[in-house]
Amino acid sequence: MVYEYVILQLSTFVVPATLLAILALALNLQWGQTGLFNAGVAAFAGVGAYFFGMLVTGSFAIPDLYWFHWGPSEPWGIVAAAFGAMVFAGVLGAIVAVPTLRLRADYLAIATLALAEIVRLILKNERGLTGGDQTLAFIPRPLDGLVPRGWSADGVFMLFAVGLMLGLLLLMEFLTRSPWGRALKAVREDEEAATALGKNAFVLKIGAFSMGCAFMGMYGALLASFQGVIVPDQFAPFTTFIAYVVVILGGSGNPRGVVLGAYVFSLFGWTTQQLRAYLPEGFALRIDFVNQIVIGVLLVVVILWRPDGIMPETRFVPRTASAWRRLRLRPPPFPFQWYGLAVAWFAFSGVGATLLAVGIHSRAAFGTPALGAAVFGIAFVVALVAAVTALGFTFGQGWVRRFGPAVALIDVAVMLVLLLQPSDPTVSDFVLLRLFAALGVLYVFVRAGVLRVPVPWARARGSAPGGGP
Amino acid sequence: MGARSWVRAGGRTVSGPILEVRGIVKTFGGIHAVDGCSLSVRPRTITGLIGPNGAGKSTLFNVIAGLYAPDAGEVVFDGHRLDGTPAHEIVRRGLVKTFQIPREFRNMTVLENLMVVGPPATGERIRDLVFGPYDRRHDEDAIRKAERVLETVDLRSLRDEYARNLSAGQKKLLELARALMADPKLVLLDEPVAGVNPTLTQHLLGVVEGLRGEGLTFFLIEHDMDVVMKRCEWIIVMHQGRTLAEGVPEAIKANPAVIDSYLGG
Repeated sequence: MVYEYVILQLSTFVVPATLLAILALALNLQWGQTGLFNAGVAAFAGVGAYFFGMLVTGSFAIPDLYWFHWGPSEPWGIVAAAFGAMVFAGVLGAIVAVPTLRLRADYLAIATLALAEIVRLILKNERGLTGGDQTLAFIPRPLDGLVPRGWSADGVFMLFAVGLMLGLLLLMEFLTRSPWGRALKAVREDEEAATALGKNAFVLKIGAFSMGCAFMGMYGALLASFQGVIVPDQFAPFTTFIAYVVVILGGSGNPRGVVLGAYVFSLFGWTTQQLRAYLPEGFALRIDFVNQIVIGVLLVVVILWRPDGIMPETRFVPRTASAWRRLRLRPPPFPFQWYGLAVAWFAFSGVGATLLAVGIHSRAAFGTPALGAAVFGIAFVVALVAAVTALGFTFGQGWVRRFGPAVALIDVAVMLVLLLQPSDPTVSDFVLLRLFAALGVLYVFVRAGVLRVPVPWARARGSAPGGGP
Repeated sequence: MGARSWVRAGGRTVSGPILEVRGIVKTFGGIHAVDGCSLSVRPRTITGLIGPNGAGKSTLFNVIAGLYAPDAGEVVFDGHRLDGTPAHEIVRRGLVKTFQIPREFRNMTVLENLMVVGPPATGERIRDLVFGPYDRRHDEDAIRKAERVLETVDLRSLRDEYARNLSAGQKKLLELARALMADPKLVLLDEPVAGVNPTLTQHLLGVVEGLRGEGLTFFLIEHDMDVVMKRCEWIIVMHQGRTLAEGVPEAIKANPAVIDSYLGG
């Protein structure tokens, strides 16, 4: 089919470019934002990829919990495995960072460089675990089991990857602007001065480094999932080099720039691959090497002409009159007014998931169609009410605000009860989606300070700075 | 609300010293940079620290601020031992140090340079960002406070300029402004007016005196004798890692040991 072919061709560009953007965003947090020279990017990507691969295919694949759709090749199992890979890479990053980050900057570079070699050699030689050069194969993609009939699985995975990348980009933009991001920047600029001004540089660096490593692990898991087959040599130092090229090309310190850099860089490589067919045979065989030479030249040119990258780090200028005030709406006390996004996501996932489930699976899911329709009908109404309430919370005041958390809590309770009923996997999928959506909304309420959660580490804060009587 | 009410009332009302240094020793290899130095600083004063090059003044400041760990001796600030406390914790207790050569955060704006310091802001730790009710208004408060500080040191017009583009004198002012953002009780100034033109020097010292009037204590290293003799109430002289003499400016000027080792005939 033409449609399938176009999607497939498109995804050979979009997916690798998007994955590279994720890797570059992770490195940008370490190098661009905090100034930590991680010479072992490939190691953390490799660890993520292999840990994920082993969880979903290998000898210690996660067990199959029948009512959750939780098996090694089922959607939630794959998501959980990817999350596990992230945590594993992040913890590994912290283990490397704790002893070296107290020392001078060079030691981190040496330690991570050594780690990269150690990881690669383990992956190559521990054949029982990783398959070595025989490859680790048959790694599934997360959403393949959920793709509706008539849809292209490649297309769905492409959208999934792009969505994840955009989510990470938003997170990084938020972190860059947060006080935490500002403190990281200060550490990057002058660690001793930052310490003398009250910043705990060590803790800040550990946090940024392990978070970056976790997202490198996520990149690895996605890459393994996309390729279906992984080999140790993929995680050679060249991967690290590419990641740095992308960050420097795009604009070190600017998440948007880094993403742009990843697409520009990939477009270049992809184009030469497409041209291969039209080149004389001798040259076509060597195009990869020519590519690498051109990458080097490109890097030199960028450093000479635009030393800060295509899209350099932006300057922080506080906004005085926000769009909310111009619209005469009450500005929500949430960082950067992202309520709209949370609400849109909630409404979409709730209503959308319900419709999807009803439309595609209701007949298969329930022996008696009437019962199925009733259950989904109730869920649909709850989702709708919750979405409307969340909207009311964003713009409303008084009792409307207090009503929101209650609805979200009821939503969570209903979904938990549904989840504990052993039933058809399709129903659990749907219920889990709704549960995550409702938890997301609850999280927004917690962040906004409307819903108080007594967390042990929450210390009493003094009055707002700069107040006075 | 007074124009400068952001300055915390400094010191205690008791007349004891706000800072006491007892027998500090700090060696680098075989060199005794600070060799059993003892001194004290009374609250609400501008106290000067002078001495020849290599007397150990900057090293002593770094020890007090927690950037170097002393080999022996103790530092007592506001009734609490400071030695062994990490540098970032010392700042929170109200003692902050500026650098001799300005260490501005080059690729951040003047405003950002100040906002970094602020009081422990919400959202500066990951767990605050994830769970805490991080409120943008705290950021706005920090901006307002930073603007008031910038007003005091006359850098308001350069608010959104990159710190790297400032002149050397303006960078000195930025150093002072950053220190003030930490709500200090005691500020250690390492050569605050070296390389600053006379007009700006007078301005900077005017700012310092004004803040002293509001309860802050200043302890400064300076080689400009004009500044030290006119502006400091109390002067401590260091020589070869120890305290050589201390007293009011007139007494120091007349002290033969000080003339011999530092002031010259």
